[in-house]
Amino acid sequence: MASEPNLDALRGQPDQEFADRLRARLRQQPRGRTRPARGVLTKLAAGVAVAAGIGFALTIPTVRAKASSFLALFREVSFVAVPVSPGEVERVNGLDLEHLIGDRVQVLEQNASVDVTSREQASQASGFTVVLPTVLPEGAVQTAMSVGGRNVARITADTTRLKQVLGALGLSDLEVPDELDGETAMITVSPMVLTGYEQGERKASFIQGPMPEVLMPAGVDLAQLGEIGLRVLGMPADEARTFAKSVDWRTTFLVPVPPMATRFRQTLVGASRGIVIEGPIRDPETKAEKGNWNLLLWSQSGRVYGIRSTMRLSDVMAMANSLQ
Amino acid sequence: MPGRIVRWISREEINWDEVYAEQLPRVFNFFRYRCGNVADAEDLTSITFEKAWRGRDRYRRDKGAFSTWLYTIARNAAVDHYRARAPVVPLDEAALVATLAATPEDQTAGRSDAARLAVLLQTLSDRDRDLIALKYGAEMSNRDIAHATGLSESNVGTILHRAVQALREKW
Repeated sequence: MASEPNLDALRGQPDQEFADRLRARLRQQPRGRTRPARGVLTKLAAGVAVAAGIGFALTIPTVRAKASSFLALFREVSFVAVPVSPGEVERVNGLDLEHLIGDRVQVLEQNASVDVTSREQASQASGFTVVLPTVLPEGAVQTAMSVGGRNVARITADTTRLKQVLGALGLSDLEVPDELDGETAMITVSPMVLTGYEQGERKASFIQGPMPEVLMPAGVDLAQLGEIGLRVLGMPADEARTFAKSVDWRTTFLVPVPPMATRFRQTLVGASRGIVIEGPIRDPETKAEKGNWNLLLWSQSGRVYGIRSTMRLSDVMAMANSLQ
Repeated sequence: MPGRIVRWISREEINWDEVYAEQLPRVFNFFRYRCGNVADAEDLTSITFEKAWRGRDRYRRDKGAFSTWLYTIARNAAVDHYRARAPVVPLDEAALVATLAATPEDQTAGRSDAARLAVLLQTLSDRDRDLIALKYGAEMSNRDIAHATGLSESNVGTILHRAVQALREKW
């Protein structure tokens, strides 16, 4: 052995010209919240397609439903929090959904979000009367407002692919009826208004808008669909079956509670029931705790509202209760 | 739809200028150790950052540190790189590799430490080189390497120890 190997020998700074060139190239690409609508919708649609597709089970043999006979779901909702384990998150995220079912998702309409400067502009762009909190935490100011675009997608069920998804998720005990092949579901995401607030380093995003609509062929067994959704989220088979039969799936909105959350509970915003999910903010590198985040979701009069923030929860509740 | 809510609440507010300044040298060095030559390291660094930039909405902080996510992309880029091409060794190092197996100590004498290390790294297994690149190129802790690779921390330590031992014997 001549000497100790110099294991740091290859380390050095990249060429400055290379670094500048790459930075410039990245900057030429779009960034910010006006990300391409297709990406948003495709992912959304793909997610729904998995839940809907693998849960499709037609209780009547005739599946040639006309548009007029479609069911409209999620017009009024209650939120149900479902804890998701890190393992389930890994499994679902590990699926290449776009590859598996991306070509079965047809984007019929896509519109990018636009920045607006006033409530009136937001109301005009969104098509509904926008409400805003009249009470803000001390020192907090509104910093941004934007209106998301309307997006519509059609998903066509492909039983072969859906079985692959089930298999990949380890849920091969769930059967996909062959009659599903070629059936379609329609998803419409109406414009949502997003308002940003800052209180020093603390931030809040307030989102409001109509509930997304999912139109499915008449005869879909919603309980079975819900059961599949719950299983995908990691609920044990028996529990998922019992729970799925006990709720009205036309009005129930599952909210997965991510592993990073430390607690969740039901709450009231005015007379409306909602849920609160809370968790710590960790430094991405050191993972040291540097504060808390919270998410408040509630529904009222056919609209859904949400505040995601790093502000104090009491301040967030005060904001939510002061909407006008 | 619930998935969208999860993405919404878990979206990381990333300061990309900060990320770029901090991680560019580390990612570049990861590829220097992984692939050996500067040209490949620059190409793969570009691919990594472009993929991260395009897929920034897929980053989920509940899945771990941002660097872990970034190095997942980097490691996949390295795998794709090796899959796409037959092993290529730069000409000036090819002769060295050819003679290395016979008398490494003598033959590498006089070369710069960087060139020697680049050549010796090519003699390691793919997994060992990957871990060495994460440790000495990206300057990650054993714990972070364990998170990034799915190996246990003690396993990472053992593999690195053996890999360094192998390099020491050939140095």
